[in-house]
Amino acid sequence: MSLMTTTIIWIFLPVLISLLLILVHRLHKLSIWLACVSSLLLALAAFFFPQNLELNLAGRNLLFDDTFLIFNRALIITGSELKTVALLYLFSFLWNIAGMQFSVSRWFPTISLAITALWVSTLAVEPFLYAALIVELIVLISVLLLTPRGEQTGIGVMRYLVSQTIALPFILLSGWMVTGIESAPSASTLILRGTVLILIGFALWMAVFPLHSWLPMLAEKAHPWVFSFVFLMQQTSLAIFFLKVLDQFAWLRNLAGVFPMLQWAGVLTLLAGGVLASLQTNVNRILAYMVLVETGYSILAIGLAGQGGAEALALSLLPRALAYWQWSYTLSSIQQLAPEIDGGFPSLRGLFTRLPFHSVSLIISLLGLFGLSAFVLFPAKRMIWNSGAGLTFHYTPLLSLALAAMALFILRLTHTLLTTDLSLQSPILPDNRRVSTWQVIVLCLLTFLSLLVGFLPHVFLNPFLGILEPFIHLLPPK
Amino acid sequence: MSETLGIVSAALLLLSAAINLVRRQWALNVLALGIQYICVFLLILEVRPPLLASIKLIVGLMVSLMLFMTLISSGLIESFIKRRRFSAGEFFRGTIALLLVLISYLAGPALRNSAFPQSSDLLLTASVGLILFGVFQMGTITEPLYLVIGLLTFLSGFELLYASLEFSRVLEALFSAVNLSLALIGSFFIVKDVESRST
Repeated sequence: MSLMTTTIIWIFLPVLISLLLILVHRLHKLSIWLACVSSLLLALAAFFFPQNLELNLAGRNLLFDDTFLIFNRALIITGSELKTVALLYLFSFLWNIAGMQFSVSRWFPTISLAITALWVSTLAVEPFLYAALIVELIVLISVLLLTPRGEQTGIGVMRYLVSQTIALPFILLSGWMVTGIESAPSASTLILRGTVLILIGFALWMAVFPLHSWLPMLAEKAHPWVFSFVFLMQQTSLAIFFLKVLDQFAWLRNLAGVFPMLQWAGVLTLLAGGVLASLQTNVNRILAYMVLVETGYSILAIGLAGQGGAEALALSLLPRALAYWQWSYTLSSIQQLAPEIDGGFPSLRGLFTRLPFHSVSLIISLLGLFGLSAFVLFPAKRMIWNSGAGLTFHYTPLLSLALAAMALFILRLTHTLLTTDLSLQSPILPDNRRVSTWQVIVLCLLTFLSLLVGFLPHVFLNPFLGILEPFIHLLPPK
Repeated sequence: MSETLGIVSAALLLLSAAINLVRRQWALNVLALGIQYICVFLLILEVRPPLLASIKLIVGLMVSLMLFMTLISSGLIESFIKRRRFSAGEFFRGTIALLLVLISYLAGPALRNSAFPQSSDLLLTASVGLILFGVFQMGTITEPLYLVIGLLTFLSGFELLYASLEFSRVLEALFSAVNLSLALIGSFFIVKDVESRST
């Protein structure tokens, strides 16, 4: 068995590093730097690695294998899948590099690297049904991060665990049924059963409306930095995994009604996210509804895969990460600077006078997620809106309603941040909790980056269209 | 495996799951969980050689022991012999347990005819029973120990069903890792709750 395989570099090596990080977890800064450097190197290596896996190093030609066999099962990372791998390790790097500023768990570097490697293995494992157990392991590891320190275990964490565990049998059984379907392609009952099981499993995994109830509960208690990382990874990986399943199984993508059903599930999920967000009075829960809205967009994009939705999905992955990063960075900074702010609207009243850069950054990240023109997610969302409207007019009023509800929340939040209660004197931050110049620079840079990517999407986002290259059956090359 | 031993194992399995659902006595619950895994082992012998079936037994007993040790070190365990009167909630859950046993008894053969012809009625009855008990426990209780017991019960029910459908060493290893991680998470929850109560 060759040791020069892509699997060893992007799955086993990071797992090994994360195990080594356990040894130095008490040296928090060192473990963060090690996680950052390894994530960045793995991301860069995956991004620039030749697609034919033939590396020319100091005059020597090294040919890497894309398959690692274990007990007759395989882990496969092909050259065309390396863009996805690069994206996942880039997320790990982005969340680790700023994570040292916040009081997240000291296990964050170790666990974040392990989670990233496990998500990569989820995308690499063959047969795909084994991914269900790897996802379960990821959930179990994530729970350690999502449980806040010094507090009782929240009900949100427990429901998260339950919901993800219940998804496991659906995916495993569908995988088992698939074998039967492949050998008897005309077995319509099996096809229907397999489809239902797969869709239910994915709906539970992705917290599709109405299976999302645990999401806001979890967001309210968990640290925003950890929450955004865990769910960005989950959302991104599961969306790509779902594309892979659709690509791999002709019986699933050829079944009449699957794509319209996905479109409706997406529209209803993002509508629910938008409407529920508009009623919120606690910013800690907002990220959960934003995750719900983005899940809706992802599913709608997959449902519209044949009408340009898949391209929109690929273009939205990095911008979405930037928007989540900005929101959770800003919110975590606010909580660190002013711990008396509990996330409720009354505690945020007049925040603009105390933390103007943070207040503006909160609004800008929401506008980015909203898909306002010239902002980071606009190009991808415009494609989805146009594709949806071009297919049928049924989606347009619902999408408009969801957007109106989100806009309403943004206006309410802006009003709260700008309005000072005259009867209360806004507290002045003590010296040891003053906003650092570094934080202001980061917030300004994020806003600038969000605008820059929005203005020049072809420069920053087009390379990520390569994520779709492996799906040759679902998206045949034109 | 003789048919009688299979029937006794299935009955004992459902009884242990019912005890975990009905009774709130931690030492007894962990003991019932251990018995549950022994019965799963005996039932799996129908479709697996003893050496492979013992993986589930060893993992199950380790899981039970891990939870038991956590409860002991947290000072939360109370004697098995301690008598407590049955509460109204326990009567309610007892009735539900009877209903679940009945449903699984009826669902086993029906499932065999419609979806899993290669599995035996007894195995399907036991696995459906465990899945139902697990789901009910997870859906009604928010106390960490019972939630974890519910999850483990649910998973062992599914493992029992899946064992009759497919065998793979990788899958077996992953199932073992999930069960052990779940027990670790359960211990983590229990310790966390104890710590937060004491501060």
